[in-house]
Amino acid sequence: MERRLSELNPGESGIISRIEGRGEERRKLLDMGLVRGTRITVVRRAPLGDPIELLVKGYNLSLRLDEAEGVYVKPVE
Amino acid sequence: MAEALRLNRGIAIYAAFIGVLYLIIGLIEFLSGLTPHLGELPPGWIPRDIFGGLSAIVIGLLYIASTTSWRRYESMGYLLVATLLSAIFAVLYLLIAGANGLDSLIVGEGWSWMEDVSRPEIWLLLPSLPPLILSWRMAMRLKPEAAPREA
Amino acid sequence: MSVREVLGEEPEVAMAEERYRVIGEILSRVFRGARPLTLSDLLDKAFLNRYLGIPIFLTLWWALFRFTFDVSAPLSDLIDISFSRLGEFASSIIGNEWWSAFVSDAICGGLGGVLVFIPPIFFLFLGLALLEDSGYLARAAFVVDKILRPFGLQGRSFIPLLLGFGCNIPGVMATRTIPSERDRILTICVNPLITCSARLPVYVLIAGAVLGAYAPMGVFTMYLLSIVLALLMALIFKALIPYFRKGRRAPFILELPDYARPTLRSTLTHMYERGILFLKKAGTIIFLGIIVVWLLSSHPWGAPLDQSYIATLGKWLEPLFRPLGFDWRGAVALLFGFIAKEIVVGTFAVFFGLGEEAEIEEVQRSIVELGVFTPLTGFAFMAFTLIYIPCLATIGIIYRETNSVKWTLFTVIYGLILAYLIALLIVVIGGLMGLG
Repeated sequence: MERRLSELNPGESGIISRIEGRGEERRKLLDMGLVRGTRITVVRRAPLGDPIELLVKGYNLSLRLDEAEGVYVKPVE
Repeated sequence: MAEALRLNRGIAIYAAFIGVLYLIIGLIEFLSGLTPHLGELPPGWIPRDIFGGLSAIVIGLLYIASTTSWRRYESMGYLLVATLLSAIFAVLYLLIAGANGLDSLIVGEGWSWMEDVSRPEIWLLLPSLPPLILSWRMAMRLKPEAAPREA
Repeated sequence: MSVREVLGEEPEVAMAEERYRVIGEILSRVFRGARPLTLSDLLDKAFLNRYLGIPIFLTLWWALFRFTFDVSAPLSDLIDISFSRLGEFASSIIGNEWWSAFVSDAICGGLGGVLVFIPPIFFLFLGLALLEDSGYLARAAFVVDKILRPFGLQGRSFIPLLLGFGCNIPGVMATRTIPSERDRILTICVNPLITCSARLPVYVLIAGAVLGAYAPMGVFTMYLLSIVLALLMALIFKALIPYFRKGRRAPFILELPDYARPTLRSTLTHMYERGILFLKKAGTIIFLGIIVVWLLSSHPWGAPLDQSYIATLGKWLEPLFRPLGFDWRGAVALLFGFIAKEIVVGTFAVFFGLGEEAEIEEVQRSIVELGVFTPLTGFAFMAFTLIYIPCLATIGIIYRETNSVKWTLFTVIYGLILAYLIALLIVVIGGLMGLG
């Protein structure tokens, strides 16, 4: 069951299955370590609900919701 | 790991007490700053300062947040930031007092040093010191080990 | 067969995946254990708290603001006084009247005019370096990003805009923390609309003179107008100017690093490098500008201020300002305001023969008695002062930071047009409402 990263609630995790989008945005995400098979956790939302803070490969990263929309994950416990 | 970070009841109560102090002083500074036409309403040693007052209120709220969540490890986070901000503002107001003193020397005008030095946030640093030292010492014990932070 | 068919993926995806697979393999051999709770996690519970996150950000900004402008004040005063003493000394030993005035007013005044900005700028960069090196600046951008996004700005634009309330120069310089060139230039372009502390005396003077009991409200309205216009213009530029509109929006991918204790060395290096840059680059432009204006305002030699070249220019511009209800004095004051808003109050004082150091009450009385402004045109004058370019130094720093004549001119010109339009709007609407 694939879900968009932007749909995960804080505290939920998933394994990245694919990344959509193109050009600069996608390459930057890949560079930051968001590649297939990587476990990613939504840590929290910003006080106003957007952007979101993610935990990936042991470091913290922030993405806007519309950028997180292109990242698909398989939720895990 | 997280268990070691719980505040004990004594610290939690103490933090609430300091928080209330900051809240009261912040409110007085803020409200008297909003109503400058009301004359000598607050005691003279509490300045009329809208944003300074709001800052003190934020510090107060952080102390109180650490009390209300004292059974959970977040409380330590609130206490750390509250004490950090207490220290920042105390140092800042001391620096401003020093700068005003220096300025009065340079420009050759009088300096109402009592007004600068009696700023309550400076003196509130003293009762904030015990939780400041305690919480930062506890926090420093959780040096991240050389371990990947991935589950 | 293409690369894509061999790899079964886009090359860049395959590269990234392979790279991280190798990294993962090595890591699993040398590291072990679960992710521990860190100090950063604890601090973020408070700094990024749902309710307290934004108040904490504002609190820290306020501390930075006071640190930048209050703590640095004695140094600025020291520089100011030193250069005016130096000027007096120079003029006392130079026999020739013109050279004496040139050295004391233009050279020493000009150098002083550049150097008084140094202390607040160094303090600002010290404070910013502390926030940046400690890891908080990234959090600040994270917390406020959503507020600014509807206006085409981003989280990192917030601090430069807020600093503008103190002085636009550090505000413009602080945009260096914005990596996206487009976002940075947009933030620079709207920064002069943020009302800096030098404009406050003008508001106080005019509002106190003509707005009576509504004076505090008039001044407060200027601050409100300042914020509204800055955000509105950002929105308009973003929508209309191809440079800001074209292409996809730069991704806002932000690492939130672990908090760290800033080291003295890196903090001071940060501060020094950026501060020196201001001195070298913007300083020369400001210095030259001040000399040019001195030449224009003190010639023909020996003429009173209202017959100087710059006053002639003001009178020549008067018809342009007549729809707004400003006479030539208003026009000249605005012209002088190009150098620095601090001069506007002094200019009025000189017009009324009061000398530059006159008490503000005397100047206000003259404004009322001579009927320079009605409440309505006075309010329009305040709005005009708010909107057009704050000072020569700001023009210098915008040029240096954008490195483009085009953007500098654009900022100056749109400011003038907008100022004129808004002032006209105030006068016309006020006139229709029967105010005057």
